[in-house]
Amino acid sequence: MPTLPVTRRGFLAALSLGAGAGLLSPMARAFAKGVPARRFVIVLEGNAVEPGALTSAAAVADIDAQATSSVAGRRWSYNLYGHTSPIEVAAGDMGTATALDPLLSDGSTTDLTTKAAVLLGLSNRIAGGGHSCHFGALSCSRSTPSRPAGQTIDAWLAEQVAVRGSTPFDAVRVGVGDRTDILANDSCAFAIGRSAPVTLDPVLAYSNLFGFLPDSAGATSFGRRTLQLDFAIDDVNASLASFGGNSRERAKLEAYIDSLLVIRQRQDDLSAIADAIDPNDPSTAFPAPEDPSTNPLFGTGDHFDILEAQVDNVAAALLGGLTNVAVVTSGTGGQFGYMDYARVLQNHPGVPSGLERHDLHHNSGGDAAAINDYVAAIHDVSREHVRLVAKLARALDAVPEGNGTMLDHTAILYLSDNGEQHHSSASEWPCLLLGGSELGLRTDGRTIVYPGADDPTNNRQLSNLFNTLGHAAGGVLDDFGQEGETRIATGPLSELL
Amino acid sequence: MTLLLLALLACDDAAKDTPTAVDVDPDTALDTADSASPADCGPVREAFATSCTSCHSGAEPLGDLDLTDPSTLVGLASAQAPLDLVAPFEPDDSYLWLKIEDTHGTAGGSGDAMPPPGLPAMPDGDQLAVRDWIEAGAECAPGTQDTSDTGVDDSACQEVQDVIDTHCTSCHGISALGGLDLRVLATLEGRLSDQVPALQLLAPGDRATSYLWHKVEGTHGSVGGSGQAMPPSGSIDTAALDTIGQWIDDGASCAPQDPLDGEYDPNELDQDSLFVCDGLPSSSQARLVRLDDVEWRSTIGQKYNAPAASNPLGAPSTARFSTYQQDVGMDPATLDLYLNVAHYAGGGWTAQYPEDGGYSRQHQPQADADLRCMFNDSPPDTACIDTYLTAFLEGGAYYRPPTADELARLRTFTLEALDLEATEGWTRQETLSHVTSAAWLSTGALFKSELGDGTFDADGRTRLTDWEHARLISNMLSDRALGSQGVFRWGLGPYGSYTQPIEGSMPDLQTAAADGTLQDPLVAGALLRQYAGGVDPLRVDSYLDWGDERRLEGRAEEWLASRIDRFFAEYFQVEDFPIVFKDRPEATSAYDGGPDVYSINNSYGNLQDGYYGHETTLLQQFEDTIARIVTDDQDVLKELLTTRTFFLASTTRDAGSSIESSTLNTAKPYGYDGDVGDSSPADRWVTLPGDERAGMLTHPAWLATHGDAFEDGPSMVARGHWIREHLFCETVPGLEFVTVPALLEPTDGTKTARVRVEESIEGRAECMVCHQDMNSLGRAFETYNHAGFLRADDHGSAPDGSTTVDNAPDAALNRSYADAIDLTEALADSPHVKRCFVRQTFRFFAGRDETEADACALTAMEQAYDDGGGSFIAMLEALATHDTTVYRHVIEEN
Repeated sequence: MPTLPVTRRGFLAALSLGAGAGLLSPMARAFAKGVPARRFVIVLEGNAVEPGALTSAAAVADIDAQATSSVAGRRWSYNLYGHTSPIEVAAGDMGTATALDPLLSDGSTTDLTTKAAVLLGLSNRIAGGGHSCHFGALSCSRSTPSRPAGQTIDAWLAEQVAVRGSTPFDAVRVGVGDRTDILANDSCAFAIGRSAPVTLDPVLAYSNLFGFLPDSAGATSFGRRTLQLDFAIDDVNASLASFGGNSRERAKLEAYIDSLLVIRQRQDDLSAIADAIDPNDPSTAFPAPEDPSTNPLFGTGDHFDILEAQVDNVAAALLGGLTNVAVVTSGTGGQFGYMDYARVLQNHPGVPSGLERHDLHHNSGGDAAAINDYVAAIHDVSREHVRLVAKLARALDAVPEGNGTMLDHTAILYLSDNGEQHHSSASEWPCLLLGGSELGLRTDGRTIVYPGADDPTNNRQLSNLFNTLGHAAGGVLDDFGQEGETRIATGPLSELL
Repeated sequence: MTLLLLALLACDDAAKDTPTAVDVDPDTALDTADSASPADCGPVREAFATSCTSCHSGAEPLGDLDLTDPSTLVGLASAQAPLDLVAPFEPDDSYLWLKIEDTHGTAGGSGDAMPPPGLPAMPDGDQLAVRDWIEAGAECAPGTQDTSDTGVDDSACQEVQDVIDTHCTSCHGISALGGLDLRVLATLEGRLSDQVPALQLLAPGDRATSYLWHKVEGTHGSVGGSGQAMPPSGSIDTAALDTIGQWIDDGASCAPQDPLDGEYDPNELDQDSLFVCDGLPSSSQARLVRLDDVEWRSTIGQKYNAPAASNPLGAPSTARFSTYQQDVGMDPATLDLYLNVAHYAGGGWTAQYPEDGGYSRQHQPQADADLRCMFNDSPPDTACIDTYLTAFLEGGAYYRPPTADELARLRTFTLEALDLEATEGWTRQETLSHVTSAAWLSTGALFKSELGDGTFDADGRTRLTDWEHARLISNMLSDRALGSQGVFRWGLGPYGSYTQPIEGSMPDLQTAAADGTLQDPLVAGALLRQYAGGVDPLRVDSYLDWGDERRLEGRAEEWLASRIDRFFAEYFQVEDFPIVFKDRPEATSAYDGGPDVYSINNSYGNLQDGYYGHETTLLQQFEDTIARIVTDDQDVLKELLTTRTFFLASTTRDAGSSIESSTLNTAKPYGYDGDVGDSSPADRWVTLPGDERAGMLTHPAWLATHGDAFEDGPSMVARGHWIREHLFCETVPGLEFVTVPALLEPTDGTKTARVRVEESIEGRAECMVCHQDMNSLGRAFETYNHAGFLRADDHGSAPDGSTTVDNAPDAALNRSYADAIDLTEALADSPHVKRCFVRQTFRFFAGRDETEADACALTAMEQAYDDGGGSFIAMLEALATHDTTVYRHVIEEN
């Protein structure tokens, strides 16, 4: 077997790793405050975000001017759209949409509608529809529950040098589901057939992200992990030294030791961040959320509490420079049916308490024109998601960065994992986009309504939005997904850039 | 610019400099199997394309350094050091090489190594290619990879290839539909058409005699062709057609190029030839096999719903079976998540009575007095440490005796941990958790070795060591490694409430490995049969599946070892049944609109998740039904496809209780209206009418898992897909190649599934390319709805399972069928189906696809099956003891 002189691995192994961290100067940076970056957050609500919940009064009026029938009060209306070019609804009344008033200022908070854009009309029919499109939502592919048919956009973004920068985590993927699983494999994918797990346990997510902090509950475990990794590296090196199989088999061990080194290096990176914290200087404090042991969000078991805890985990990870890519899933894939929205349903006396998501949607009927107590509750569930998205956005917006704030350097995308309705046809994927103005995104309060999915020439697809994010990431992403000949037009959405 | 980004990676380590590695003379050009002549800079160009040109190319290359063309680098001065980028014959004086090697600092250079930290290092082979090229003079010789020197203008070929890639390779690419791979046009030279053998696909200089041209032009019928025009989704535009035609007329030239590597598909092999043994010595590739998620948590003694069950070690979903671990090492994302759960692995070994006791309390640590010094002494002496570590590695991590080196490394780590215990105030349990977690990161724990003993016979084969063979046999049968410790189940475990004796799982297999008798095939076969399954009223095998012993009353007494259970679950692909959603499960059945709908819905949900009561889920009923068939072990395949006797859940056990609604109607999916008693397992065996159910393909679990969410959805497609792939061993292209909106036309609710499929799919040629392989087979099952209920009325018509099959690989199956039962009985008698079943068994239990070299093993398996009267266990015995399994070779492969 041909060998090489000692190269990078040997060089690293020879270094004192503490000193090694210092040599890698970007890694010694404390955390993100004040350092412009490109950040992306995707918040994925499982089993439908109805377009009607994100459509403002002005948007309704502008759509109606060309629609084949009025869209006012409807849950979804892509089949009624009459326009053949994008409608750009002026900023001003986004907050009139039933799920978007959390974006408005309540007097003590900022008005986020001036940093938002709503996109209607985008289709993703290649994803197939149904209760969930699983991996297909973020990969624009025909995926099955157990097999992603393409890389999801979060994984693509996490690979970009301009996005990753020197953050310790390439991406943070957390969420909530309706079962007790710790991990979910249904929304994100590194590649065809290779899912990227989402951590559904907020305590575990907290420990993984913030265990490096000296006083955190995970601090001792963090230190032990470093020693365990060193042991494993020595062990695998010993195995490699005496390995008798062919190169393909050897590559398994090579891959393993590479992974050990990656994680080991991250230990050093996180330790460097911890070392920069001066307990006597509050300005160096790391913005971790309240410890799970005292934070009520971590202990109630309520699905929205868990979701909020995960959003807080993500916020802190972004603020602390631990990552620049995050995904937050909420009852996606096969884990939507028993999602319990008690805090929302208590405000809807016409809906039986304890009704879970699947039954909530089922009982609302499948008529796009019918608005009833169940539909109001469904839209209110989306509203609660928007509230949490807004919470995250305001946390970022409070931190100056470059020519603006961290929010201006962060694109937050809220959408569903299956399209416009409970039994979706994947025809319309309403999207809320927050922030990212310094990344080139025109999130200035506009609503853009693209021609409907039945217009084979003028409709635009979710993959175009992902192309737009790719450009915002500093790359050139004119194609994405597996739509093949069903792709209508490549490239980003010019109405957003 | 897309870059695969990881944090720091390294490409080699000091170990490669040890005497066991092949020595490299850096002044000598190496000739590796995959490298071209060093004077050929094609490999260097490719190396740069892989690792460099994402930054160093384009109009404004990074650092003003364009690496697209290696020949332009010779003699170019470095901007960072007083060296040329490439000094011919002198790699150690070539700054570009020093940057790759990360030794540029010693030459006065600056900046990061290349590729920079955070990006994957240049692969070893590519680095060798670069160094070799410099050493050989750094030339880009004419007549090699530079197509302009061959006189072939490849631009036209590339233009045509682009058109083909756009319109054709989604089907005629990796999946090579119809055996035609169009990804590299250069490989079509001289190839004749399968449809019109007198014509070449591409006749240089004459499009009129090129069959490919006629197909895309739609004139293939005029030359005696068949099938539809290509692409089936619509014609290629005029300009693109002209491009193709002109290129053909100009000579259809392309630069020489090797075919692209495609995914190997054993279904492309001729099945009959796989059962002709040539008598030559057999062996398999020596390999490492990483533990998977179920295997890991079962071996460490954790329940199905324990946190440890939620580990990231599952096989890639591209794998045919979960036992396939080809190319599975451990990537950073998996390792990151595994680190969260690794501490569970040694939980039972951290104290005599661990704080998290209960089911994780394992036998030996609790019962073995020799280990207590490790838990109690302050500090334990070296002898105690070695005793503990040896016992732990043998019975709690490696499941074989550790080597001296392995023990020494862990001993050192343990001593250091004990020092930290003293200085940091750790508890002993924390210390031992730290030690055992580290052990479970080692290769001996995570990877099973099938590398052999290292001595090779005249045929280049090495035999598995006895412990390797024993571990392999144990994992053919069970998710638990031999020697894995029993867990504590108060009053239920047969060994002092433990589920295994103190020696751990499969003690007789351990003994045979230790004393060498395992080398006798008769001994090995008998041990396999001993542990494969049987009849056990206590159902000890299920103790990690359910925490409540009341569940045991609801199980059948027949059991199979967990890997055999898993084979059938994966073979029939029913694992997702618990999470499939069914809209109105009772729709179109006799119960639709009836008074019991509410309870039937509740019961169906309970059959999925088992939340209420203590009876079996539908999946467990599926499993127990198969367990009886396999433990009877006669005509197994025939029974699987035709049995009328099924294991159901009792409907009387919770009668009158508050949960009755969720348990009373659990027999309705079978169409059984009687009571299913609860006095014994025998009460739960029900023989159903012969014209209603026959075999596992009529079991509600299979029907539902391969069914749509709606009763009028395309369930037939999924069911037909399964039959084509799992009973015929023929491949249907995957969904990732579907680029048309694959949805049925919307319905007003009045149409049957049959009609919707006919209207939406069967009138469209581009759909039938694939659907012709599925729909006719699945249509037979339209007498059942999407959830597995028998239909009683199908939108005003009688349920209709009639179908005609005309493209089965066994010609005897090509006829009309009345319904699913008619079809499955024919399938049960098909020799082709039997052989496909043998192949599927091989695939799962060997953990890989079969090749033509496995013909002797397959033949032996089939023979054993037939000689045993249709014995599945005999088939496993044959595989476990065959040379293909026992002997290994070490051969480089692509």
